[in-house]
Amino acid sequence: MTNPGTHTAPSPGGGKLLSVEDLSVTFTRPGAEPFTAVDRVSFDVAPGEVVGLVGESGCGKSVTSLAVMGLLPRRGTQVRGRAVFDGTDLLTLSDGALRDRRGADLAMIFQDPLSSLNPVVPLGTQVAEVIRRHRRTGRAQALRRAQEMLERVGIPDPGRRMREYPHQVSGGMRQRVLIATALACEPRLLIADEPTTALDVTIQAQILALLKELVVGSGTSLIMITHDLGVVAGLCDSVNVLYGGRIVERADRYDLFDGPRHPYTGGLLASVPRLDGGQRRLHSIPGSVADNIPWSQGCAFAPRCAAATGLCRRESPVWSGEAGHRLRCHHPLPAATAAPTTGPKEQAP
Amino acid sequence: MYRFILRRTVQAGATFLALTAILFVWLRSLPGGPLDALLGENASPQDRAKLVESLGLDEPIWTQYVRYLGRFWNGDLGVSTGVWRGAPVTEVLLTRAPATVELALCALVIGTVLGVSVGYWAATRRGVFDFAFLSLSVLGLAVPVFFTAFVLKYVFAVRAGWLPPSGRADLQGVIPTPTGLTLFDSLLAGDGAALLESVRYLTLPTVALSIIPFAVIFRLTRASVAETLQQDFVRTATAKGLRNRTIAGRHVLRNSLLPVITVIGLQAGGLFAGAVLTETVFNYRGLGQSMALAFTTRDYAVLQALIMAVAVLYLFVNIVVDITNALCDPRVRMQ
Amino acid sequence: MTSARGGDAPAAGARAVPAGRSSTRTLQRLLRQPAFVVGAVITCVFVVLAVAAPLLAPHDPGAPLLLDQVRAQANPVPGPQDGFPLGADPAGRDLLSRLLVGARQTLIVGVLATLGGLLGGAALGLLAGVFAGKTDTLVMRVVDVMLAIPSLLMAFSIAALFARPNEWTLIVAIAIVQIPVFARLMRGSMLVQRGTDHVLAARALGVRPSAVVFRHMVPNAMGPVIVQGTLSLAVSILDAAALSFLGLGNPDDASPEWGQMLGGAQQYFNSYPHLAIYPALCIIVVALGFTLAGESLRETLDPRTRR
Repeated sequence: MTNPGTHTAPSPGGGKLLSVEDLSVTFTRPGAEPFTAVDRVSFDVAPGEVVGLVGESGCGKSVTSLAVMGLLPRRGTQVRGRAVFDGTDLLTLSDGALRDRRGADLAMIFQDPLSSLNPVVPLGTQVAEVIRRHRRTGRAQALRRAQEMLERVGIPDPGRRMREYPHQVSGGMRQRVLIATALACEPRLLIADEPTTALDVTIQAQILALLKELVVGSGTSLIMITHDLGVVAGLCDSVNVLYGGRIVERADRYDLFDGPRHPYTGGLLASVPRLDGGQRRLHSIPGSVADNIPWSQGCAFAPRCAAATGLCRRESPVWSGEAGHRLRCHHPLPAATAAPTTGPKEQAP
Repeated sequence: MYRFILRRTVQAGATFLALTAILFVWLRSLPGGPLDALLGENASPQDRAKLVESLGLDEPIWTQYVRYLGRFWNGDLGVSTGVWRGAPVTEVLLTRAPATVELALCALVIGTVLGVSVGYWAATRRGVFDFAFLSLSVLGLAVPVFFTAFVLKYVFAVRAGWLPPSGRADLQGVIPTPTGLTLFDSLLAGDGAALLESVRYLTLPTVALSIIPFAVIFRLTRASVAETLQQDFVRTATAKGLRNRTIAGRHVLRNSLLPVITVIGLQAGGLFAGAVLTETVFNYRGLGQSMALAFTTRDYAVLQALIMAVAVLYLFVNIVVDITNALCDPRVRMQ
Repeated sequence: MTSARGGDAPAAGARAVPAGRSSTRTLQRLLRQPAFVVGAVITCVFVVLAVAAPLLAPHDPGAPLLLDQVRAQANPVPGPQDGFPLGADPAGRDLLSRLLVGARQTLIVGVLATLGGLLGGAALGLLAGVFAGKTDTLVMRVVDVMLAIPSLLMAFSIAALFARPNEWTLIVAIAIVQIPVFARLMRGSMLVQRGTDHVLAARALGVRPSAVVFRHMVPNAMGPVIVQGTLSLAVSILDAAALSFLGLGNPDDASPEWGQMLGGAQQYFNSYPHLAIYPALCIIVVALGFTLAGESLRETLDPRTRR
């Protein structure tokens, strides 16, 4: 596998690295109603692009990524749609073929770095095993490369850390090890599922900076899954906001932050504290994800939405908006002068 | 690591000392006291006087206990008053130990190997197969060991006549028997007929004895593997594109077997108790059968030696288990 | 199912005080498990049989009614006949009546032995859990030493202490062996309770220490101990059978117990296996019942396995 080259900027409209089309995931359990966690989600990732999937827990963002990676349990889940990566639909690949791709072409890091590492295997081995699996190298060579990777992700004294176990190193260090593992085979796409959520705030910033440096700098594409709009603001080229298993708004970073159109996005932005002091109180979205209604009965966000009308509870909204900024809402916030009334506006002091 | 081993050994030593004290008290609480207990009720007054002197029964209790320990240290475990009247207990112990070691080892190995592999299989597959084995293992725990032994003996030996109903392969004079373990000796001598004979005699008692360890280890492995499969690091391993073999071995089994190792140690204890019952049914001349005989004939010298031997073995097995655990689990090592 | 909606679910992880609604929910969850239902039914039938045994038994279990048919060589065990559906034992006593009355004896032995072990163990565990430090260390050392001898072996040794074994020596031997399990469980359970918020709150409110222990900690800590008790009932009955088999049980078989019947039938096994199979089946079914019920209870009440 060769390095994808020198894509340092997103090339919209050009070659797509990953194209998710109408992806649906339904969990079926005997004796329970089938539950659709992801409902016809489509988005593209261009080479070198950083795409954000944003939403509250339970909105289907993690399930989407697990489905793309083929990591959902086969029993009790139904995955439909396509996830075309570099010309092949990952969802139709055989187990073996998918296994050859995972770790080599597309890699993933997870939320909790402690539980994501095997507690009884030395860190070095955990990095090296992915190299041995996908590269034709011997043990010693793989270990050397693993140590190199640990050094690249900023782990001091990597030679010693190689022999240590997960419980002996700090949380930030563990996430660095996982990043080293994910990047060891120079994948073309990295999916990061809330990679900073389980970490201290100061460490979060370090890890984000590291991801920016290693991923964005090398032209690897990144899908960033997060509920934290701060992370999106600092990293993503384009953003998909998910609610109740559907994408409700999609825009590039600046458009979204300057003028969110969907009330849900507006609420999310308004609930982020701002340093410029433009707001007195943090906004909170009333209700919880549990209040969802199914999309088939209207807009899933309607029960929590201040702008909801009878129409919202009857008909689920279809895509609207212009090419670069799409949304699904019957009553979008006004363009340009966006943001809800309680929300922040750039009011210079 | 060495400090860990040392600490465990010292702990076991302390437990052993406490045990000797308990046995010492036990021997003195027996019906008729230690004299009747050790000599039998019909001993002559001279013998009694001799024993009083040699045990120092007229001395303070602490001196008696120290002497008792001293005799233990010298391997003097007393003289049998029951079936082996007059024979030194140490001799009884040594001639019978290999039979039980062989039986218990076979049962433990079979129970562990089958329990772990079937448990792993059941946890990864579920379904009918899983349910069948789960039901069988629950049933296995509810059946008295000696009843299983009786049924096996009745069906396969008495009725079908396929296997010998009792006893143990006698290889004395057929091939050299350096270890006393029939399987091992026949393998050592390369004698196929002797090996077959040993297997024939061992089969039924081993099956009877291995049911409980199998059931316990199967259930634990199954639960433990099922839990490990849910762990994030298994998902990470899958996301790395590792082969199933690597995921199963390095990531799933290595973690799920940690609690199983501990339980294997505990099962070793249960095996000795099970051996008492199984060996009695199959008239298999090992420590267990001699213990049952000692119970019925109230041969306390033999009993106390056997209890002590079993306890020491059990302590030893558990040290080995702890060390294995520490070797396999870096988190234990650190403590 | 209907009440679950709208009602706030009990906080996950906390072993809530079994109040009305949560215990109904627990019961509902239990009744959905076939294993529990089977176990509970077996247990209930067994208890009813045991209690009503004297009424149900067609004959006096100790009366040698068919003794005149017993011939040492030709016919040592009279077969089934009118009024004696299972036949008789080698002493000419009705087998069915003995099995029925045996249920009662077996229940008595099992319950008393388990209760003895439970109370003894819980007391030790309570000591260790309440007075931490030296008391804790001492108690746990004692428990460790007890655990150094395999349990059944220890039961054998204790039973051998008695010159004349009877059903009480059996009960005492089995009870003592069960102590360590309960002691460990109770101690662990008390330690968990000590850290819970409601205990901290009670302390902060200045509730007397003894009241904190007995009113706030013990009732909640007993949960796992009682569940283990269900499982130990099966173990007690199996252990009693093993002791009887080795001749360490009650030699007086006027009022039979299943383990004793099974132990006594071994010499006839090759010619008259039914003498052993009937009591053995009874033991197996009852042990199975207690185990199934106990394990589903444990799985349902243990928050770690709760889904």
